[in-house]
Amino acid sequence: MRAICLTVVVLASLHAQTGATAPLSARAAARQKPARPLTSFELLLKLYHGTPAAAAAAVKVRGVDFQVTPAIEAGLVEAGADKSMLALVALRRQETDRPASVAPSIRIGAAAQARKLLRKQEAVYPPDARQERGTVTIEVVVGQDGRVKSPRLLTGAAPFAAAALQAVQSYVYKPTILDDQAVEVTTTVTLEFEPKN
Amino acid sequence: MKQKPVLLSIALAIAATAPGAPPPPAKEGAPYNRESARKEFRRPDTIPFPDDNRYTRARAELGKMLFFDARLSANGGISCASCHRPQFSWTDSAATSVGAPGMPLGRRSPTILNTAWSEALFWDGRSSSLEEQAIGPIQADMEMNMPLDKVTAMLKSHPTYAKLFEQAYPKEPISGVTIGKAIATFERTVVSGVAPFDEWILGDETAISEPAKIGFDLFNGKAHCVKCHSGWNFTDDSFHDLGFEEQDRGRGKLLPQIQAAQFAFKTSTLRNIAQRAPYFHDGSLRTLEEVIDHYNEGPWLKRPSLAEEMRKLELTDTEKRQLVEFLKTLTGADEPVSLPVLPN
Repeated sequence: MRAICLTVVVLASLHAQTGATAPLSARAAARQKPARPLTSFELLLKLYHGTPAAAAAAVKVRGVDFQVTPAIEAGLVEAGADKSMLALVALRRQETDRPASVAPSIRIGAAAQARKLLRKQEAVYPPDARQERGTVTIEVVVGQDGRVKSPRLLTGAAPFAAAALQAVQSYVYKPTILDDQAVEVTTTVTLEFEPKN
Repeated sequence: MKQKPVLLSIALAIAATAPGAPPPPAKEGAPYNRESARKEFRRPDTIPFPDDNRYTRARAELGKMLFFDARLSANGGISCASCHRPQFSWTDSAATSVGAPGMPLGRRSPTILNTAWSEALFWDGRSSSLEEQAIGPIQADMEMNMPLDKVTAMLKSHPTYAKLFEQAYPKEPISGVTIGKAIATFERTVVSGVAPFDEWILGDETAISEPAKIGFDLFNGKAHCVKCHSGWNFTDDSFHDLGFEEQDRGRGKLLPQIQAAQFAFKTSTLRNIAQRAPYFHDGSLRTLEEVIDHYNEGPWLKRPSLAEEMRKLELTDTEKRQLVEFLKTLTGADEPVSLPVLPN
Protein backbone atom coordinates (compact mmCIF):
# COMPACT_ATOMS: atom_id res chain seq x y z
CA MET A 1 0.00 0.00 0.00
CA ARG A 2 2.71 2.36 0.99
CA ALA A 3 4.65 1.53 -2.14
CA ILE A 4 1.69 2.41 -4.27
CA CYS A 5 1.24 5.73 -2.51
CA LEU A 6 4.91 6.45 -2.94
CA THR A 7 4.70 5.74 -6.65
CA VAL A 8 1.81 8.10 -6.98
CA VAL A 9 3.68 10.82 -5.17
CA VAL A 10 6.79 10.29 -7.29
CA LEU A 11 4.78 10.30 -10.48
CA ALA A 12 2.98 13.42 -9.41
CA SER A 13 6.20 15.22 -8.64
CA LEU A 14 7.74 13.98 -11.87
CA HIS A 15 4.77 15.31 -13.69
CA ALA A 16 5.12 18.61 -11.91
CA GLN A 17 8.74 18.81 -13.00
CA THR A 18 8.55 17.58 -16.54
CA GLY A 19 4.94 18.12 -17.51
CA ALA A 20 5.77 21.22 -19.47
CA THR A 21 6.45 24.15 -17.20
CA ALA A 22 5.06 26.67 -19.67
CA PRO A 23 1.41 25.56 -19.50
CA LEU A 24 1.65 25.41 -15.71
CA SER A 25 2.94 28.94 -15.43
CA ALA A 26 0.44 30.06 -18.03
CA ARG A 27 -2.29 28.56 -15.90
CA ALA A 28 -0.88 30.30 -12.84
CA ALA A 29 -0.90 33.57 -14.73
CA ALA A 30 -4.46 32.93 -15.81
CA ARG A 31 -5.44 32.46 -12.19
CA GLN A 32 -3.95 35.81 -11.25
CA LYS A 33 -5.64 37.76 -14.01
CA PRO A 34 -9.15 37.32 -15.31
CA ALA A 35 -9.15 36.39 -18.99
CA ARG A 36 -8.78 39.50 -21.10
CA PRO A 37 -11.58 40.20 -23.59
CA LEU A 38 -10.95 38.82 -27.07
CA THR A 39 -9.37 41.03 -29.70
CA SER A 40 -10.82 40.90 -33.20
CA PHE A 41 -7.77 39.00 -34.32
CA GLU A 42 -8.14 36.33 -31.68
CA LEU A 43 -11.75 35.80 -32.66
CA LEU A 44 -10.69 35.58 -36.27
CA LEU A 45 -8.13 32.88 -35.47
CA LYS A 46 -10.68 30.97 -33.42
CA LEU A 47 -12.98 30.98 -36.43
CA TYR A 48 -10.19 29.90 -38.75
CA HIS A 49 -8.93 27.09 -36.57
CA GLY A 50 -11.95 25.92 -34.64
CA THR A 51 -15.68 25.63 -35.03
CA PRO A 52 -18.10 28.59 -35.02
CA ALA A 53 -19.65 27.11 -31.87
CA ALA A 54 -16.32 27.13 -30.05
CA ALA A 55 -15.67 30.70 -31.18
CA ALA A 56 -19.12 31.76 -29.92
CA ALA A 57 -18.42 30.08 -26.59
CA ALA A 58 -15.17 32.06 -26.28
CA VAL A 59 -17.02 35.31 -27.04
CA LYS A 60 -19.59 34.48 -24.37
CA VAL A 61 -17.00 33.68 -21.73
CA ARG A 62 -14.42 36.37 -22.38
CA GLY A 63 -16.31 39.19 -24.03
CA VAL A 64 -14.76 41.27 -26.79
CA ASP A 65 -12.48 44.27 -26.83
CA PHE A 66 -13.34 45.77 -30.20
CA GLN A 67 -16.00 47.59 -32.16
CA VAL A 68 -17.10 45.81 -35.32
CA THR A 69 -15.83 48.13 -38.05
CA PRO A 70 -16.70 47.31 -41.67
CA ALA A 71 -13.18 45.91 -42.21
CA ILE A 72 -13.41 43.70 -39.15
CA GLU A 73 -16.91 42.58 -40.09
CA ALA A 74 -15.74 41.62 -43.57
CA GLY A 75 -12.89 39.61 -42.07
CA LEU A 76 -15.13 37.85 -39.58
CA VAL A 77 -17.75 37.03 -42.19
CA GLU A 78 -15.11 35.61 -44.52
CA ALA A 79 -13.80 33.48 -41.67
CA GLY A 80 -17.26 32.02 -41.17
CA ALA A 81 -19.08 34.33 -38.76
CA ASP A 82 -22.83 34.44 -39.38
CA LYS A 83 -25.38 37.08 -38.32
CA SER A 84 -25.93 35.53 -34.91
CA MET A 85 -22.20 35.62 -34.23
CA LEU A 86 -22.01 39.31 -35.19
CA ALA A 87 -24.99 40.04 -32.96
CA LEU A 88 -23.35 38.17 -30.10
CA VAL A 89 -20.16 40.18 -30.58
CA ALA A 90 -22.08 43.46 -30.53
CA LEU A 91 -23.93 42.41 -27.38
CA ARG A 92 -20.82 41.30 -25.54
CA ARG A 93 -19.03 44.46 -26.61
CA GLN A 94 -21.61 46.45 -24.67
CA GLU A 95 -21.41 44.20 -21.66
CA THR A 96 -17.67 43.94 -21.45
CA ASP A 97 -16.34 46.27 -18.83
CA ARG A 98 -13.04 47.60 -19.95
CA PRO A 99 -10.61 47.63 -17.04
CA ALA A 100 -9.62 51.18 -16.11
CA SER A 101 -6.00 50.60 -17.05
CA VAL A 102 -7.01 49.86 -20.64
CA ALA A 103 -8.74 53.23 -21.15
CA PRO A 104 -6.21 55.56 -22.73
CA SER A 105 -5.05 57.93 -20.06
CA ILE A 106 -2.34 60.55 -19.81
CA ARG A 107 -1.08 62.95 -17.17
CA ILE A 108 -1.06 66.65 -17.90
CA GLY A 109 0.46 69.41 -15.79
CA ALA A 110 -1.81 71.70 -13.78
CA ALA A 111 -1.07 74.85 -15.77
CA ALA A 112 -1.53 73.22 -19.17
CA GLN A 113 -4.76 71.54 -18.19
CA ALA A 114 -6.11 74.76 -16.61
CA ARG A 115 -6.00 76.43 -20.02
CA LYS A 116 -8.52 73.85 -21.25
CA LEU A 117 -11.06 74.75 -18.59
CA LEU A 118 -14.37 75.59 -20.28
CA ARG A 119 -16.74 75.96 -17.38
CA LYS A 120 -16.46 76.08 -13.61
CA GLN A 121 -18.24 77.08 -10.45
CA GLU A 122 -16.11 79.29 -8.21
CA ALA A 123 -15.26 77.74 -4.88
CA VAL A 124 -17.12 79.32 -2.00
CA TYR A 125 -15.10 80.51 0.97
CA PRO A 126 -16.29 78.27 3.80
CA PRO A 127 -18.19 80.22 6.46
CA ASP A 128 -16.62 78.22 9.27
CA ALA A 129 -13.03 79.00 8.19
CA ARG A 130 -12.49 81.89 10.59
CA GLN A 131 -10.86 84.33 8.20
CA GLU A 132 -7.88 82.06 7.57
CA ARG A 133 -6.11 81.47 4.28
CA GLY A 134 -6.11 78.00 2.79
CA THR A 135 -4.59 76.06 -0.09
CA VAL A 136 -6.04 72.81 -1.38
CA THR A 137 -4.52 70.56 -4.00
CA ILE A 138 -6.72 67.95 -5.63
CA GLU A 139 -5.85 65.28 -8.12
CA VAL A 140 -8.60 64.86 -10.69
CA VAL A 141 -9.26 62.41 -13.46
CA VAL A 142 -10.92 64.17 -16.38
CA GLY A 143 -13.01 61.77 -18.41
CA GLN A 144 -12.92 61.45 -22.18
CA ASP A 145 -15.93 63.82 -22.28
CA GLY A 146 -14.05 66.53 -20.38
CA ARG A 147 -15.99 66.14 -17.14
CA VAL A 148 -14.32 65.54 -13.81
CA LYS A 149 -14.67 61.90 -12.81
CA SER A 150 -12.88 61.25 -9.55
CA PRO A 151 -11.40 64.07 -7.51
CA ARG A 152 -8.97 63.01 -4.80
CA LEU A 153 -7.66 65.26 -2.05
CA LEU A 154 -3.86 65.54 -1.98
CA THR A 155 -3.30 68.37 0.52
CA GLY A 156 -5.50 70.89 2.30
CA ALA A 157 -7.25 71.50 5.62
CA ALA A 158 -10.75 70.26 6.29
CA PRO A 159 -13.11 73.22 5.77
CA PHE A 160 -11.36 74.29 2.56
CA ALA A 161 -11.02 70.76 1.23
CA ALA A 162 -14.77 70.16 1.21
CA ALA A 163 -15.44 73.45 -0.57
CA ALA A 164 -12.67 72.80 -3.09
CA LEU A 165 -13.84 69.26 -3.84
CA GLN A 166 -17.36 70.51 -4.42
CA ALA A 167 -16.17 73.23 -6.79
CA VAL A 168 -13.87 70.92 -8.76
CA GLN A 169 -16.74 68.48 -9.36
CA SER A 170 -18.34 71.16 -11.56
CA TYR A 171 -15.30 71.72 -13.79
CA VAL A 172 -15.70 70.94 -17.46
CA TYR A 173 -12.61 70.82 -19.65
CA LYS A 174 -12.08 70.72 -23.38
CA PRO A 175 -11.52 67.00 -24.10
CA THR A 176 -7.91 66.03 -24.79
CA ILE A 177 -7.42 64.35 -28.15
CA LEU A 178 -4.48 62.08 -28.77
CA ASP A 179 -4.21 60.33 -32.14
CA ASP A 180 -7.81 61.19 -33.05
CA GLN A 181 -9.05 59.68 -29.82
CA ALA A 182 -10.30 61.40 -26.68
CA VAL A 183 -8.24 60.31 -23.70
CA GLU A 184 -8.62 60.46 -19.95
CA VAL A 185 -6.45 63.05 -18.29
CA THR A 186 -5.02 62.96 -14.80
CA THR A 187 -4.03 66.37 -13.49
CA THR A 188 -3.91 68.44 -10.31
CA VAL A 189 -5.92 71.50 -9.39
CA THR A 190 -4.78 73.91 -6.70
CA LEU A 191 -7.29 76.29 -5.14
CA GLU A 192 -6.40 79.26 -2.92
CA PHE A 193 -8.88 80.49 -0.35
CA GLU A 194 -8.64 84.01 0.97
CA PRO A 195 -10.97 85.78 3.39
CA LYS A 196 -13.08 88.43 1.65
CA ASN A 197 -12.03 91.41 3.76
CA MET B 1 5.94 66.13 -19.86
CA LYS B 2 4.93 62.62 -20.72
CA GLN B 3 8.19 61.30 -22.10
CA LYS B 4 10.29 62.45 -19.20
CA PRO B 5 9.82 59.44 -16.91
CA VAL B 6 10.55 57.08 -19.80
CA LEU B 7 13.78 58.76 -20.79
CA LEU B 8 14.73 59.06 -17.17
CA SER B 9 14.18 55.36 -16.54
CA ILE B 10 16.31 54.44 -19.53
CA ALA B 11 19.02 56.76 -18.36
CA LEU B 12 18.79 55.31 -14.86
CA ALA B 13 18.86 51.77 -16.19
CA ILE B 14 21.94 52.45 -18.25
CA ALA B 15 23.61 54.27 -15.42
CA ALA B 16 22.72 51.50 -13.00
CA THR B 17 23.95 48.69 -15.20
CA ALA B 18 27.09 50.24 -16.61
CA PRO B 19 28.76 52.59 -14.20
CA GLY B 20 30.85 55.09 -16.07
CA ALA B 21 29.50 53.99 -19.44
CA PRO B 22 29.23 56.74 -22.03
CA PRO B 23 25.75 58.13 -22.59
CA PRO B 24 23.82 56.44 -25.38
CA PRO B 25 24.63 57.84 -28.81
CA ALA B 26 22.32 60.53 -30.13
CA LYS B 27 19.64 59.07 -32.38
CA GLU B 28 18.77 60.29 -35.81
CA GLY B 29 15.56 62.20 -36.30
CA ALA B 30 12.99 62.70 -33.57
CA PRO B 31 13.94 61.81 -30.02
CA TYR B 32 12.86 58.34 -28.97
CA ASN B 33 9.60 58.09 -27.11
CA ARG B 34 8.41 54.78 -25.78
CA GLU B 35 4.73 55.62 -26.12
CA SER B 36 4.93 56.60 -29.77
CA ALA B 37 7.19 53.60 -30.48
CA ARG B 38 4.53 51.31 -29.02
CA LYS B 39 2.03 52.49 -31.62
CA GLU B 40 4.21 51.11 -34.40
CA PHE B 41 3.61 47.56 -33.18
CA ARG B 42 -0.17 47.27 -33.17
CA ARG B 43 -1.46 44.08 -34.70
CA PRO B 44 -3.59 44.28 -37.81
CA ASP B 45 -7.32 43.51 -37.57
CA THR B 46 -7.53 40.90 -40.29
CA ILE B 47 -5.44 38.53 -42.38
CA PRO B 48 -4.91 39.67 -45.97
CA PHE B 49 -6.06 37.17 -48.60
CA PRO B 50 -5.48 37.93 -52.30
CA ASP B 51 -8.53 38.65 -54.45
CA ASP B 52 -7.94 35.63 -56.67
CA ASN B 53 -7.72 33.31 -53.68
CA ARG B 54 -10.09 34.53 -50.96
CA TYR B 55 -10.44 32.50 -47.80
CA THR B 56 -13.08 29.81 -47.57
CA ARG B 57 -13.18 27.05 -45.01
CA ALA B 58 -13.17 24.44 -47.80
CA ARG B 59 -9.93 25.89 -49.19
CA ALA B 60 -8.18 26.10 -45.84
CA GLU B 61 -9.19 22.57 -44.86
CA LEU B 62 -8.07 21.14 -48.18
CA GLY B 63 -4.81 23.06 -47.93
CA LYS B 64 -4.20 21.73 -44.45
CA MET B 65 -4.66 18.15 -45.66
CA LEU B 66 -2.23 18.69 -48.53
CA PHE B 67 0.23 20.34 -46.14
CA PHE B 68 0.28 17.28 -43.89
CA ASP B 69 0.00 14.61 -46.62
CA ALA B 70 3.26 12.75 -47.29
CA ARG B 71 1.77 11.21 -50.44
CA LEU B 72 2.70 14.47 -52.13
CA SER B 73 6.34 13.30 -52.04
CA ALA B 74 8.05 10.83 -54.36
CA ASN B 75 8.95 8.39 -51.61
CA GLY B 76 5.69 8.92 -49.74
CA GLY B 77 7.67 9.76 -46.63
CA ILE B 78 7.71 13.54 -46.26
CA SER B 79 5.17 16.30 -46.33
CA CYS B 80 5.39 20.08 -46.00
CA ALA B 81 4.90 19.52 -42.28
CA SER B 82 8.05 17.37 -42.07
CA CYS B 83 10.15 20.52 -42.15
CA HIS B 84 7.49 23.02 -41.04
CA ARG B 85 6.38 21.39 -37.82
CA PRO B 86 3.70 23.04 -35.75
CA GLN B 87 5.43 22.01 -32.53
CA PHE B 88 8.63 23.84 -33.55
CA SER B 89 6.88 27.08 -34.47
CA TRP B 90 6.43 25.81 -38.05
CA THR B 91 10.07 25.12 -38.75
CA ASP B 92 12.07 22.13 -37.55
CA SER B 93 14.64 21.54 -34.88
CA ALA B 94 17.62 20.94 -37.18
CA ALA B 95 20.06 23.65 -38.25
CA THR B 96 19.39 22.80 -41.87
CA SER B 97 16.55 20.54 -42.82
CA VAL B 98 16.81 17.08 -44.26
CA GLY B 99 15.31 16.58 -47.71
CA ALA B 100 13.91 13.60 -49.56
CA PRO B 101 16.34 10.70 -49.36
CA GLY B 102 18.05 11.80 -46.16
CA MET B 103 19.81 14.62 -47.98
CA PRO B 104 20.75 17.62 -45.86
CA LEU B 105 19.56 20.85 -47.44
CA GLY B 106 21.54 24.03 -47.72
CA ARG B 107 19.39 26.28 -45.58
CA ARG B 108 17.23 26.15 -42.50
CA SER B 109 13.47 25.70 -42.92
CA PRO B 110 11.91 29.13 -42.67
CA THR B 111 8.79 29.31 -40.53
CA ILE B 112 5.44 29.61 -42.27
CA LEU B 113 4.16 31.69 -39.36
CA ASN B 114 2.69 35.03 -40.49
CA THR B 115 3.66 34.48 -44.12
CA ALA B 116 0.25 35.93 -45.08
CA TRP B 117 2.01 39.29 -44.82
CA SER B 118 5.14 38.33 -46.80
CA GLU B 119 5.71 39.76 -50.22
CA ALA B 120 8.73 37.63 -51.01
CA LEU B 121 9.03 34.01 -49.95
CA PHE B 122 12.06 31.78 -49.32
CA TRP B 123 15.24 33.01 -47.66
CA ASP B 124 16.26 34.58 -50.99
CA GLY B 125 12.79 35.88 -51.90
CA ARG B 126 12.63 33.96 -55.16
CA SER B 127 8.84 33.51 -54.92
CA SER B 128 6.54 36.47 -54.93
CA SER B 129 3.46 34.66 -53.63
CA LEU B 130 2.62 31.90 -51.20
CA GLU B 131 0.70 30.17 -53.99
CA GLU B 132 3.84 29.98 -56.10
CA GLN B 133 6.08 29.13 -53.14
CA ALA B 134 3.92 26.27 -51.91
CA ILE B 135 4.48 24.09 -54.95
CA GLY B 136 8.25 24.71 -55.06
CA PRO B 137 9.42 22.21 -52.43
CA ILE B 138 6.94 19.60 -53.69
CA GLN B 139 8.81 19.49 -56.99
CA ALA B 140 12.37 20.14 -55.79
CA ASP B 141 14.46 17.02 -56.35
CA MET B 142 16.23 17.49 -53.02
CA GLU B 143 12.94 17.84 -51.18
CA MET B 144 9.64 16.15 -51.93
CA ASN B 145 10.82 15.36 -55.45
CA MET B 146 7.38 14.96 -57.00
CA PRO B 147 6.76 16.31 -60.53
CA LEU B 148 3.60 18.42 -60.69
CA ASP B 149 1.90 16.23 -63.29
CA LYS B 150 2.32 13.22 -61.00
CA VAL B 151 0.88 15.05 -57.97
CA THR B 152 -1.99 16.33 -60.10
CA ALA B 153 -2.74 12.87 -61.51
CA MET B 154 -2.64 11.33 -58.03
CA LEU B 155 -5.09 13.91 -56.63
CA LYS B 156 -7.42 13.73 -59.64
CA SER B 157 -7.72 9.97 -59.36
CA HIS B 158 -8.36 10.15 -55.63
CA PRO B 159 -12.15 10.29 -55.09
CA THR B 160 -12.03 12.24 -51.81
CA TYR B 161 -9.42 14.77 -52.90
CA ALA B 162 -11.21 15.22 -56.25
CA LYS B 163 -14.39 16.07 -54.36
CA LEU B 164 -12.64 18.43 -51.95
CA PHE B 165 -10.97 20.29 -54.82
CA GLU B 166 -14.36 20.59 -56.52
CA GLN B 167 -15.79 22.17 -53.35
CA ALA B 168 -12.83 24.49 -52.81
CA TYR B 169 -12.23 25.58 -56.41
CA PRO B 170 -15.41 24.67 -58.31
CA LYS B 171 -14.47 26.42 -61.55
CA GLU B 172 -10.83 25.43 -61.69
CA PRO B 173 -9.25 22.09 -62.58
CA ILE B 174 -6.90 20.32 -60.18
CA SER B 175 -3.47 21.66 -61.11
CA GLY B 176 -0.34 23.14 -59.64
CA VAL B 177 -2.28 26.40 -59.43
CA THR B 178 -5.09 25.08 -57.26
CA ILE B 179 -2.74 22.93 -55.16
CA GLY B 180 -0.69 26.06 -54.47
CA LYS B 181 -3.80 28.11 -53.75
CA ALA B 182 -5.20 25.60 -51.26
CA ILE B 183 -1.92 25.22 -49.37
CA ALA B 184 -1.42 29.00 -49.38
CA THR B 185 -4.90 29.52 -47.91
CA PHE B 186 -4.10 27.18 -45.04
CA GLU B 187 -0.71 28.81 -44.51
CA ARG B 188 -2.26 32.28 -44.28
CA THR B 189 -4.31 31.12 -41.30
CA VAL B 190 -1.12 30.20 -39.45
CA VAL B 191 -0.67 33.35 -37.45
CA SER B 192 1.14 33.90 -34.19
CA GLY B 193 -1.21 34.20 -31.25
CA VAL B 194 -1.61 37.20 -29.00
CA ALA B 195 1.54 37.55 -26.92
CA PRO B 196 2.22 39.35 -23.62
CA PHE B 197 3.83 42.03 -25.79
CA ASP B 198 0.51 42.59 -27.59
CA GLU B 199 -1.31 42.92 -24.28
CA TRP B 200 1.22 45.55 -23.29
CA ILE B 201 0.66 47.33 -26.60
CA LEU B 202 -3.07 47.23 -25.81
CA GLY B 203 -2.35 49.07 -22.57
CA ASP B 204 -1.82 46.42 -19.89
CA GLU B 205 1.27 47.69 -18.09
CA THR B 206 1.53 44.48 -16.08
CA ALA B 207 1.68 42.21 -19.12
CA ILE B 208 5.48 42.36 -19.45
CA SER B 209 8.29 42.94 -16.98
CA GLU B 210 10.25 46.15 -16.46
CA PRO B 211 13.47 44.62 -17.89
CA ALA B 212 11.45 43.61 -20.98
CA LYS B 213 10.21 47.20 -21.37
CA ILE B 214 13.78 48.46 -21.19
CA GLY B 215 14.62 45.74 -23.72
CA PHE B 216 11.96 47.23 -25.98
CA ASP B 217 13.61 50.64 -25.63
CA LEU B 218 16.97 49.11 -26.53
CA PHE B 219 15.38 47.29 -29.46
CA ASN B 220 14.19 50.63 -30.80
CA GLY B 221 17.23 52.59 -29.71
CA LYS B 222 20.77 51.61 -28.88
CA ALA B 223 20.59 48.15 -30.47
CA HIS B 224 18.64 49.49 -33.48
CA CYS B 225 17.09 46.06 -34.15
CA VAL B 226 13.99 47.91 -35.35
CA LYS B 227 15.84 49.12 -38.44
CA CYS B 228 15.00 45.76 -40.02
CA HIS B 229 12.70 44.04 -37.53
CA SER B 230 9.98 46.63 -37.84
CA GLY B 231 6.22 46.64 -37.37
CA TRP B 232 3.91 44.23 -35.56
CA ASN B 233 5.44 41.26 -37.41
CA PHE B 234 8.99 42.45 -36.71
CA THR B 235 10.28 42.24 -40.26
CA ASP B 236 10.89 44.68 -43.09
CA ASP B 237 10.37 41.75 -45.49
CA SER B 238 13.71 42.65 -47.01
CA PHE B 239 17.18 41.12 -47.36
CA HIS B 240 20.43 41.93 -45.57
CA ASP B 241 23.99 40.64 -45.39
CA LEU B 242 24.74 40.00 -41.71
CA GLY B 243 28.39 39.15 -42.24
CA PHE B 244 28.38 35.36 -41.93
CA GLU B 245 31.34 33.70 -43.61
CA GLU B 246 29.84 31.43 -46.25
CA GLN B 247 29.54 30.48 -49.89
CA ASP B 248 25.75 30.94 -50.16
CA ARG B 249 25.11 34.26 -51.88
CA GLY B 250 21.41 34.22 -50.91
CA ARG B 251 19.46 36.94 -52.68
CA GLY B 252 22.61 37.64 -54.69
CA LYS B 253 22.08 34.44 -56.70
CA LEU B 254 18.95 36.03 -58.15
CA LEU B 255 20.36 39.54 -58.43
CA PRO B 256 24.06 39.07 -59.23
CA GLN B 257 24.60 42.71 -60.25
CA ILE B 258 23.21 44.24 -57.08
CA GLN B 259 25.86 44.65 -54.43
CA ALA B 260 23.56 44.85 -51.42
CA ALA B 261 21.86 41.58 -52.41
CA GLN B 262 25.03 39.50 -52.12
CA PHE B 263 24.98 37.18 -49.11
CA ALA B 264 21.70 38.79 -48.14
CA PHE B 265 18.88 36.75 -46.59
CA LYS B 266 15.37 37.60 -45.65
CA THR B 267 14.66 39.29 -42.33
CA SER B 268 12.81 36.77 -40.17
CA THR B 269 9.76 37.60 -38.15
CA LEU B 270 10.56 37.72 -34.43
CA ARG B 271 7.12 36.50 -33.43
CA ASN B 272 7.49 33.36 -31.25
CA ILE B 273 11.22 33.65 -31.87
CA ALA B 274 12.12 32.02 -28.55
CA GLN B 275 10.55 28.79 -29.87
CA ARG B 276 12.52 28.76 -33.10
CA ALA B 277 16.16 27.98 -32.33
CA PRO B 278 18.59 27.52 -34.00
CA TYR B 279 18.71 30.87 -35.75
CA PHE B 280 19.51 32.43 -39.13
CA HIS B 281 19.26 30.94 -42.60
CA ASP B 282 21.93 28.35 -41.84
CA GLY B 283 20.85 27.63 -38.28
CA SER B 284 24.35 28.50 -37.15
CA LEU B 285 23.50 30.22 -33.86
CA ARG B 286 21.85 28.20 -31.13
CA THR B 287 20.43 30.73 -28.70
CA LEU B 288 19.00 34.25 -28.60
CA GLU B 289 22.02 35.23 -26.53
CA GLU B 290 24.34 34.09 -29.34
CA VAL B 291 22.23 36.02 -31.85
CA ILE B 292 22.53 39.21 -29.82
CA ASP B 293 26.27 38.65 -29.41
CA HIS B 294 26.57 38.35 -33.19
CA TYR B 295 24.86 41.71 -33.72
CA ASN B 296 26.73 43.25 -30.81
CA GLU B 297 30.29 42.46 -31.77
CA GLY B 298 30.51 40.09 -34.72
CA PRO B 299 32.68 38.62 -36.10
CA TRP B 300 31.39 39.90 -39.43
CA LEU B 301 33.05 39.33 -42.74
CA LYS B 302 33.67 42.87 -43.99
CA ARG B 303 32.63 42.77 -47.62
CA PRO B 304 30.98 45.42 -49.81
CA SER B 305 27.52 43.89 -49.30
CA LEU B 306 27.68 43.93 -45.48
CA ALA B 307 24.62 45.76 -44.12
CA GLU B 308 25.60 49.22 -42.91
CA GLU B 309 23.65 48.58 -39.71
CA MET B 310 26.27 46.01 -38.73
CA ARG B 311 28.44 47.99 -36.34
CA LYS B 312 29.52 47.48 -32.79
CA LEU B 313 26.63 48.12 -30.39
CA GLU B 314 28.52 48.07 -27.08
CA LEU B 315 25.65 46.51 -25.20
CA THR B 316 26.32 45.67 -21.56
CA ASP B 317 25.51 42.19 -20.24
CA THR B 318 22.44 43.60 -18.49
CA GLU B 319 21.25 45.21 -21.70
CA LYS B 320 21.68 41.94 -23.56
CA ARG B 321 19.56 40.21 -20.93
CA GLN B 322 16.92 42.94 -21.22
CA LEU B 323 16.78 42.42 -24.97
CA VAL B 324 16.29 38.67 -24.48
CA GLU B 325 13.57 39.37 -21.91
CA PHE B 326 11.85 41.56 -24.46
CA LEU B 327 12.14 38.96 -27.23
CA LYS B 328 10.54 36.37 -24.96
CA THR B 329 7.45 38.56 -24.60
CA LEU B 330 6.79 37.98 -28.31
CA THR B 331 5.83 34.35 -27.71
CA GLY B 332 2.11 34.16 -28.34
CA ALA B 333 -0.66 31.93 -27.09
CA ASP B 334 -1.12 30.30 -30.48
CA GLU B 335 -4.31 28.50 -31.36
CA PRO B 336 -3.78 24.77 -30.83
CA VAL B 337 -3.16 22.84 -34.04
CA SER B 338 -5.17 19.72 -34.70
CA LEU B 339 -3.91 17.33 -37.33
CA PRO B 340 -6.20 16.87 -40.32
CA VAL B 341 -7.81 13.52 -40.97
CA LEU B 342 -6.29 12.45 -44.25
CA PRO B 343 -8.38 10.54 -46.79
CA ASN B 344 -7.27 6.96 -47.38
